Amino acid sequence: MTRTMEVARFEENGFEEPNNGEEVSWDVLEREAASNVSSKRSQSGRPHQQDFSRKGDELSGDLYELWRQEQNSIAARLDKELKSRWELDELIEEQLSRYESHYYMAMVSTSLKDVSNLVIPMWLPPHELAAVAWLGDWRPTSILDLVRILAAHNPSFSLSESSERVLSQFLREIRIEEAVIDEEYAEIQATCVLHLPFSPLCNTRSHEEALHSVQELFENIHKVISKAQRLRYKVLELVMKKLLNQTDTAEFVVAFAGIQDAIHQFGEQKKLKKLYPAVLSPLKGSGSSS
Amino acid sequence: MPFSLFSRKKPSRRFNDFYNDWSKTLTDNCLPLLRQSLSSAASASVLSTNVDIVLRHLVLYYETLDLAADSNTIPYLLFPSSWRNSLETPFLFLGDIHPYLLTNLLRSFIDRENQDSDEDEDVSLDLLNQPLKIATAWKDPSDELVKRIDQIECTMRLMVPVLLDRMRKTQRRFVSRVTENWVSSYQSGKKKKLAATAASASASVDEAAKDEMEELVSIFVDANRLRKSVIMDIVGATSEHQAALFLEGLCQFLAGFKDQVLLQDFELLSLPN
Repeated sequence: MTRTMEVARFEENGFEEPNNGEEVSWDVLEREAASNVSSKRSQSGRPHQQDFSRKGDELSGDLYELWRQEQNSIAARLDKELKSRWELDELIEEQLSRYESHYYMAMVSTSLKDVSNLVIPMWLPPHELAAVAWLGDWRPTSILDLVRILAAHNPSFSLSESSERVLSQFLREIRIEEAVIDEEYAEIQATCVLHLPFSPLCNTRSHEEALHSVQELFENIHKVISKAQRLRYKVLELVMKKLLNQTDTAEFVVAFAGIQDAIHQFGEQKKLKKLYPAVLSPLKGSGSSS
Repeated sequence: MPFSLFSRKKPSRRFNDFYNDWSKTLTDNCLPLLRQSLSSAASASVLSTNVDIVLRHLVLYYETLDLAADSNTIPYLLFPSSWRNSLETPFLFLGDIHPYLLTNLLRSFIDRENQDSDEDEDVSLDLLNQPLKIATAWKDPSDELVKRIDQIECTMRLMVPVLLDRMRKTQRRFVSRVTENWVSSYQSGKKKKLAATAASASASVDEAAKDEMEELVSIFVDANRLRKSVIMDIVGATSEHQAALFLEGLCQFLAGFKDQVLLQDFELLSLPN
């Protein structure tokens, strides 16, 4: 069996010195090879198919040496490919840890103003915020949408049926977690907000007490924002480590970066146009309520 | 007169400026006006007029927001950072106060006044100067009022999730469209540089954003309509005195965000550990 496979492999490469017992079949193969040479060359790209057309007596130790060299060269190329795969792994790991440090940046905020900047990041143009932002950054479900669309539209993406089911299930779960965070945030915006010191319901007496109540409220906001950030990272980690294979993960990172960039550029361009909200000037003498 | 208004080249001013004036009027005029009519023995008609003036001032704000909103300006209105300070931005829901806040404020007034009265001393400190009618305005609210508040709240609790859902769907649709376009231009340009793909992607972002921004305008206008109608409904459902107290509380709250002393300290505060 092993012998048969070896023969088959040698046939493919065309370097085996034909021995007498197999003379007939070699001849057949040679003729076939000669007639198919052009099509085979274009299909397979193996440069040595045409060597079949040579006469067996020319094949010798030199040729074997050549064959060995070829093998070494292919092995070297494979080795290089493997190394680049490890490099790919390393790059993916590096990017994942960059996502992690980016999304966990929220945890190290120290001032109350930082918290406000996490909700409406000053460094993002308003059009980018309006286009994608949920609590200051991408919606976790949007990240999953991106994966879903990549899988559907990118032919080199190879998401298995079971992975696709996992993705749908995951999308449902994350959607719920997003809604829970929305609820928690609404509670702060609609109820806790009434504990601000200037609220008509607040009985704080000293300035210190007042500042303390603001601090507490912002700490709650910070908790919710951090939860949203952790959810984003959780989605990315699951997509990159569990759901997608190495190549697909790489495709995903390229797409995510490219799309984020395209939306950011769009936002920057819109910002340059300076089309700010405007209102009609009140006519002098017209009865305004103010 | 209307002709000259519309034919003039630039009859407009920045919303920013309008808002600053509006906010100043709220603090300097509306709030004292309400306090005056609540603390003195002002006649019922004065109270009624003043409630009406303040209500109109609030409505004016929402109407002006709507007029300022279009697909170019909507991001600034949803994420206002130039006319809202960092004390208030985290509390903005679709560009302004959360609608639930309005009924929560109203309910808190009623609850506070109808709790077991151990804390009567606390509450009545500020109310000493007020006529009895006002001091007891929230005591034992009528069944009709309680029912009406339930109704207002019920409608609101149906509408707020819908607004959030529309926002979510709009944003996800945008990302999906941009991704589809990006994938196809990436596929066709795989041999081109990534930068070339980015250039063609940016044109498609513009296209997808146009639809998204229009939908965002519509969501924003609906959110403002809800806020405005809840304020008007509450004023409509309550007595003159209750309405005056509610509006006073709301104005005090809105004005509080602009308190310069508090703001200065806020800028320096850090999170508790």
